[in-house]
Amino acid sequence: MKRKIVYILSIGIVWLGFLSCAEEEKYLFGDSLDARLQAQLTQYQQTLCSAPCGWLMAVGTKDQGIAGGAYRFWVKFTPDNRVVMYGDINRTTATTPRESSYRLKSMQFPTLMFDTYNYLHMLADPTPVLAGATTGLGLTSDFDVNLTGDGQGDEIVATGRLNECPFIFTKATPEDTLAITNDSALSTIKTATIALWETMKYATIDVNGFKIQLSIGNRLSALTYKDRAGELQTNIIPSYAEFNHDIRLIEPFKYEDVEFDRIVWNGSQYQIKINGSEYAVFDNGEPSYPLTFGVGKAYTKLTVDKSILNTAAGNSMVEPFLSFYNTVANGILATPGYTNRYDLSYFSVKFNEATDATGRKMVLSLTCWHRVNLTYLTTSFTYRLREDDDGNVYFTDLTPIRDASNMYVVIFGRGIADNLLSYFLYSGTSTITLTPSETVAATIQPSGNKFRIGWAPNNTPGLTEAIGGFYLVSDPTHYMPGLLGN
Amino acid sequence: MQKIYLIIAMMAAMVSCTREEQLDPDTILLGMGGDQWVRTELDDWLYHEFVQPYNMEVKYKWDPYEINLQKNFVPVDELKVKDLMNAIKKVWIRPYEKQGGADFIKKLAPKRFVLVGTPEYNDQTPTAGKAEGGNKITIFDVNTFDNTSPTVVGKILDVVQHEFVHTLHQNVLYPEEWMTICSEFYTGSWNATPDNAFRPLGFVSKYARANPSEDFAETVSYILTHGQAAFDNYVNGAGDEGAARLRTKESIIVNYFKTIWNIDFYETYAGARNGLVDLIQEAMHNL
Repeated sequence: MKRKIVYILSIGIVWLGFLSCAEEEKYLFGDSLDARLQAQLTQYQQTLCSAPCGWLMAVGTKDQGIAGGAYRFWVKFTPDNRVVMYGDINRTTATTPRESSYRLKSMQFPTLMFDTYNYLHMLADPTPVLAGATTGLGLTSDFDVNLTGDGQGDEIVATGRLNECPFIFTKATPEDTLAITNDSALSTIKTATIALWETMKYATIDVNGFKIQLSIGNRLSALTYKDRAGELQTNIIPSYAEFNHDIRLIEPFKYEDVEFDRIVWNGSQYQIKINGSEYAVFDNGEPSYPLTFGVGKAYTKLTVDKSILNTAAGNSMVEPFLSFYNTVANGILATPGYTNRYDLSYFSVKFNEATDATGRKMVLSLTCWHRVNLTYLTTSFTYRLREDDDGNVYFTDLTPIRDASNMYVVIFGRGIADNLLSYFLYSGTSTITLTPSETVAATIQPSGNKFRIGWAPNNTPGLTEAIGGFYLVSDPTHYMPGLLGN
Repeated sequence: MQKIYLIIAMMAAMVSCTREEQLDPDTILLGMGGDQWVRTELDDWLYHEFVQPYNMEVKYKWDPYEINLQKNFVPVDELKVKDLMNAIKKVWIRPYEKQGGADFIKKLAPKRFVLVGTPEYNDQTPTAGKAEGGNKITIFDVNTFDNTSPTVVGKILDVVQHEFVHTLHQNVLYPEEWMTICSEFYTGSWNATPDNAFRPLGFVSKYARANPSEDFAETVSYILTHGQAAFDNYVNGAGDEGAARLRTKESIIVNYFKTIWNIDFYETYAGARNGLVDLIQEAMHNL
């Protein structure tokens, strides 16, 4: 038995030996890994150098602060590892070409490295060169990119190696190149394109009832919509203007089956193509989603600043509130003992969570400009309020907690604060008392008046911020408009 | 008998495996021999000035694997490379050659300079240079180099001097006595030292408080970069204890350079201006 096993074993070993001799295909994918990588690098190098007018390169930084977003460059590669670049960072970078080096290297991917300093590196520079960049991070950008795809088309998509920033390379046309080199188009196209968007305050598309509000900026665009669960979502995506005024999102907007990365300018309006259908961008008049205001909601603060709301070209603060506001401002200016001393700059109301069980708190802050000292003075008053089941707000207690930090504003501020409240509590009528006015509070009693908070009409040209209003429920013609914030 | 069958079978199997592997000399091994690019005038200049005479590679093109992979850097501005390396040659290589002999740098110098455009930031604290095992010196913040500004030149060359001192003491350690002079003041949180607090303790910088080796490199490079007179001034303002410690350090340094490396740190007689410090000072002056 034992002997048999040995025979079988021996035959098996010899057979295995023969097997190892069987001629097999040397490489699974036709050639060695090195050879295939080399071929791919050569292909990319040829593609990059063969674009006769160079490439337009867009990069989206991870930083989404004031300087973050999409930056655009024109790059021309030559076979001697040199690259010439323009960039839309500032006037100089858009008008003065700069040369540096590049090389292709096989890392975990075929990688294109801009391996000496050029305009592109200003974004990534950890010693900040751009206002808004962070020490140690710059704008969190990249300058060596992993190339994906076959490297043969007119568009190459790539991803930054360190920070995974998206890159898009598109072949430049002779017209593009001429516009960049002769007319500094990289620097001018943004302004010209944003001007088209500024004609719409609340640019919106309606995809069969699903509304997306588009807030298009120089380098970042915000797309706001209500998701299936009713939650408000905002996707902030780096974006840039093409030379034909199209807006290109560096990464596509995606929600369920709605997906797009381009907003097309057809000469008279913007359109978005989604799943084969075209949807026109229109001005919704007000934001396309409901306003939520209060603790833990989209906005918690309303700032009433006449200098922003009302301009020579149009007013968002209108009658009858406007007269009331003017009376308050004039009253402050005429405060006995402080005549012509204080200008009302703005006031704001902010909803805070109360720390006790007395209901939510509303902080009313008044900011005045001291004409003599040339300083701003702010004082605040805290009231208690509640919300009813319909979301309307009413006050439960009219004795505010005062901020005693500034005696001058406190002297008359209480009167103003109470009068602002009484405007809502008493059907839009109010007696202004600007002397030290502990007594005013006594005259104001909770009347059962309530107000609701909603969007307010934006009639101010050029103003695209969201404007909210506190509306008297019993007479909505009375409303206090303001800029929404937190 | 059975064993023999088995052995024969195994031998047969093995023989069948011994196929002559023909190594094709034309096989492409990607990346072998380093990165390739079309050489520029700058590449040629670096080759003639550093590779040929010193076998020293100056790596100025971006290579993420030379530095901390997790941090944000940028590559150098090509226009800065020649000025910087020229200054390094004049202020660092030449004086050592004059004092230590023509082969001094060839024997001891790091074989690789890696140039990086910006500092390495740890939180907000910038690192200006690094030395690794006597083989490689990384110089950060090259893009701010300006050979018309003595402050900037001093700052970057301070890094080179500092890192080279590390190379020296990694070859032959400074005497143990060095570690005892300020032993109680070394701290990991050196960066928290107030600006006016390290001098009375007997240190030339905050960073010198990190550990004895950094202290040694900092003190040597301080004297080399600022000169003997500036060091004397510094010592005179350090208070009695600080001054005494600094003087002890100074004498250890002078001794170390003479006995270990046969280098005169200071001039050999008054007015000779032939010490290492003088030669470096003169070179910096003439940049």
